[in-house]
Amino acid sequence: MKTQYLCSDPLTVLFSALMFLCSSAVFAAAEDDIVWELENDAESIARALELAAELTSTGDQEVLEHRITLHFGDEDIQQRHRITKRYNSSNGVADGTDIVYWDSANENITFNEVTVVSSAGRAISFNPNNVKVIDSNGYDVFTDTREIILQLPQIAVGALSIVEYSTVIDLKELSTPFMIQHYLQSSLHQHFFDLTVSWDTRKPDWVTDFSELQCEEDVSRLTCNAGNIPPVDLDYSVSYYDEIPSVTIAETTSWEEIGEIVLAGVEQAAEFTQQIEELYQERFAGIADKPAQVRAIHEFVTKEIRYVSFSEGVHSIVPHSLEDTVTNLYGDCKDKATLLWALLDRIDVQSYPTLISTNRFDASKASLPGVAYFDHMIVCVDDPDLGTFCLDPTDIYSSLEMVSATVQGKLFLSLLGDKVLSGTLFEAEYLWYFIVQTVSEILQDGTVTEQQHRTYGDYYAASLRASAASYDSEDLVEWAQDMYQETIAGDKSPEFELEGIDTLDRLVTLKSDTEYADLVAADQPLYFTDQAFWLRYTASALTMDNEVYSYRFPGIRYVGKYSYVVDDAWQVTHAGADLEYISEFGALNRTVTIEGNVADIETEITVPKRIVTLAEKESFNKFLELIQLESNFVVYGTLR
Amino acid sequence: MDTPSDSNIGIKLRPGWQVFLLTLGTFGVYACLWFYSRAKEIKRMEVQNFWPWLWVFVPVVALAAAFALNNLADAYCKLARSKGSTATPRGLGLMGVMLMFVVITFAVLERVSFSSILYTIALLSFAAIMLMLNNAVRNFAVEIDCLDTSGFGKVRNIVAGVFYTLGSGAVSILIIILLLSEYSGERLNEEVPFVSENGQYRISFPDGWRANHDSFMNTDSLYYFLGPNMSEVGIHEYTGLSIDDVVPTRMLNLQDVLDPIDCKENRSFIANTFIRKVVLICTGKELGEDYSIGSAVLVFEDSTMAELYGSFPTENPSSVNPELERIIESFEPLPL
Repeated sequence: MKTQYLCSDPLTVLFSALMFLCSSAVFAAAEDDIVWELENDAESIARALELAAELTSTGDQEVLEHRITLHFGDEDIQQRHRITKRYNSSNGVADGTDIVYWDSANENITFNEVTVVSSAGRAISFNPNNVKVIDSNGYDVFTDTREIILQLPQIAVGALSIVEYSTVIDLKELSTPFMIQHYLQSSLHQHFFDLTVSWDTRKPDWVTDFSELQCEEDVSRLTCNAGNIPPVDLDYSVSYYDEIPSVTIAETTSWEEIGEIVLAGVEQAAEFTQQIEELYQERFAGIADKPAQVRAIHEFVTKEIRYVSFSEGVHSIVPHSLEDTVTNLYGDCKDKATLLWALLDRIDVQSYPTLISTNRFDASKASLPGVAYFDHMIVCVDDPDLGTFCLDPTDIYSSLEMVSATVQGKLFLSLLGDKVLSGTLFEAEYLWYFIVQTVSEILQDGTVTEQQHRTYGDYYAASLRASAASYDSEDLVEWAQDMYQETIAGDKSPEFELEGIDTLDRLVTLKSDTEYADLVAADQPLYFTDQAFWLRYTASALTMDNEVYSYRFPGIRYVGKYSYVVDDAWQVTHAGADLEYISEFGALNRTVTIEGNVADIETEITVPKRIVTLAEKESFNKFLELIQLESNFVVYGTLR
Repeated sequence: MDTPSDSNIGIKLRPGWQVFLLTLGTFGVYACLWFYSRAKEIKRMEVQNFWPWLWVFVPVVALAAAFALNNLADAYCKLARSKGSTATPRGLGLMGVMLMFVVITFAVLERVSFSSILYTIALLSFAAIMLMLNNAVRNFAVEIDCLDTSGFGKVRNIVAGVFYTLGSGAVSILIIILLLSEYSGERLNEEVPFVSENGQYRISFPDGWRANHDSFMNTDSLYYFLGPNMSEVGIHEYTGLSIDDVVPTRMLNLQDVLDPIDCKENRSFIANTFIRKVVLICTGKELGEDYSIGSAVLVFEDSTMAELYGSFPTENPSSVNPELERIIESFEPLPL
């Protein structure tokens, strides 16, 4: 199936493509590693029924109770979760599959109870043979997280489910300090939430940003609880990790310690062996200058090393060796980043690996140090000759000069030994940057010919490459024609010439030639209307739809140069307005010049990235709407 | 296009018959008071094209003038005949006075209109009587002193009564003229607010501009203003249209009117609002004369629009009339 291209949803195409790459993980089946000690505890069932009788139904499905106990022992860390749910409608029943997230590399998990209680009060046991374990989507290269899928039997309206499981982490096996961040809101209403943290000798740090969570701490115990936690509000464009309140419990550590631990693993994997030296000599040593070498190394690691998430066991933190990666010609984020880092080091480019949390923009949400925030690794260059920039070796569509859009603005931790940098990564002012140059000739017989060059920069170029990725090279023209037909004219199949679509250059250019017959009346005064369709489409796609949360607008920069060459049968009299719209959100400027019978219309739009609050939504959308409204052109002329 | 109603502009209309009777009963004094006390309302009526006072006041003056003229003429002729003199021909003298008043009236109004004709009739009636009276005093002054006072007393009483009534009317007329000149003169130099159902606007006019009430370019303007040298400005409001309907329509019209034509269009926000101002100004020749014709459209956030449309003669065919540019620049919504 072809990947849906840019015109359908530009913001999700690249993301989807990357997700596809990062989710095609290889992993061993883990069902056998789960321990089942199920029992239908009468007391537990009675407690669930008691809660059900007490609590008024809220929503299609609800959590009556979620209890977590966490014990920091000297040898291990034990967790226990007990979740009681009620199903109130057919919609709730339809969503009745339960999922438990499991860090299989570090945790031993035991299910203590999985029971369904029918509305009549009858207990139904779960058959462990009906469990499935799948790899979590995303860049889960550091946690090796799995999803344990529990298909609960005989869920019906009015039924209750009780799931209780415990995990044990052996501290001797844990390569980085323990940290758990529990998000306090979910898609379900929670009537009771209860957290108990205890410790033997090492008191953990903890922090919460949920004001409703009532916590008490004594010398050996922390207890927190909250009632009636509403479900999280869903919205169109949200970074939920930044919005949902959480409670974080972690072993005492520092960012420096985290950085040193991870860097030690990367350095161990980055040993430059003879095989790697031979690779270097063969592929890169002969390249004349350092910038060209960097470009070649980046292209090699990005395009020739296939992305495969293979992060079992110790490799959830420590990358595979360079030899493994080069021999296999595949690797995960950190494998590719380690290879890139090592090769850059070989040509004396100063760089460092950098951990990225692809789900988090807000650094304040990571107030306790921990590696669990991070799910991705890139390499940042800080070289006196080359400047400062970052390379994402898993992004097979972005140019060397561009920080991959999936990591821009995200929480990062640079692995510089004892000089750790943390915060949020650089974010481009204008993520969507494109230039449209069009020359249209209006002929005496009413025919209009159009030559158009669309040049897309950086992220837009990467997005187009992603959308074209599923097309064979001979079908790329068809891809471009489809896009043209959906955006401009459904009955036209222009001739296309594509540049940069299969390289990692900064720009992608699509050149088209089209002819429209009988577009203007030959014997009438000239009244020719046209539109900056591509601009209109992009502005429309970036309108703020959010109703609950602020919107992270990625920024647009657009330059449109439209020239209309009119036959001498007419005298051009006017070609629209000069525009000078300046607002708090950006600027829309246009100049119109008429020289003889040629009208030139040059438009520049700059709407920088920003966080658009709900209070600003109406005004912001009005500005984007204005951009669409002013995408119309009219060329007037009198008959000679 | 929406037209504001009386109640929207806050004018309280009085019954005309009351004004008529009171004016007759007070020999015109009430007319003076009435006009004086309602000067502001009359100005707003001007803007809104309401003219009830003309139908009350002018006929009174005209009828009274005609009646007085007849009586005075009879008395004058009778007296002249009794003195063996022949009656002075009225026609030529009246003609000269009439021309003088026509010139004065036109100078004030700068335009022939129904109202100016009414003013002229009223003024001529009064002027004729004053002329006859002046002739009587000049020709018979000595004889009057020697006459039986009762013989001329009737005439004198008539003259006095008529003079009083018409004098009051004359003052009223002067007030009207002053009101008009005041409205069309200094006041238009200031920022003039206009209130309608759809919005409030502000325009700054140069010296010599005033409001007028005639239709403009064969369309109904909410407001219409006249300036020197046949310059004119109208304001229109639109609902249910888009700027891409209004501007092309204007442009195509102008293309028909001006030949050759040279146009410039600008669009921007007003201050820190999302109200757009779209300005289209074209220069060219209309019937052999150089003209600047401009349109400034305020596009409000609810998509309603107000357009100021002006036509100005220009001395230089390659440049826009600076007064047109200034007026267009000043056209803004209120309050910002």
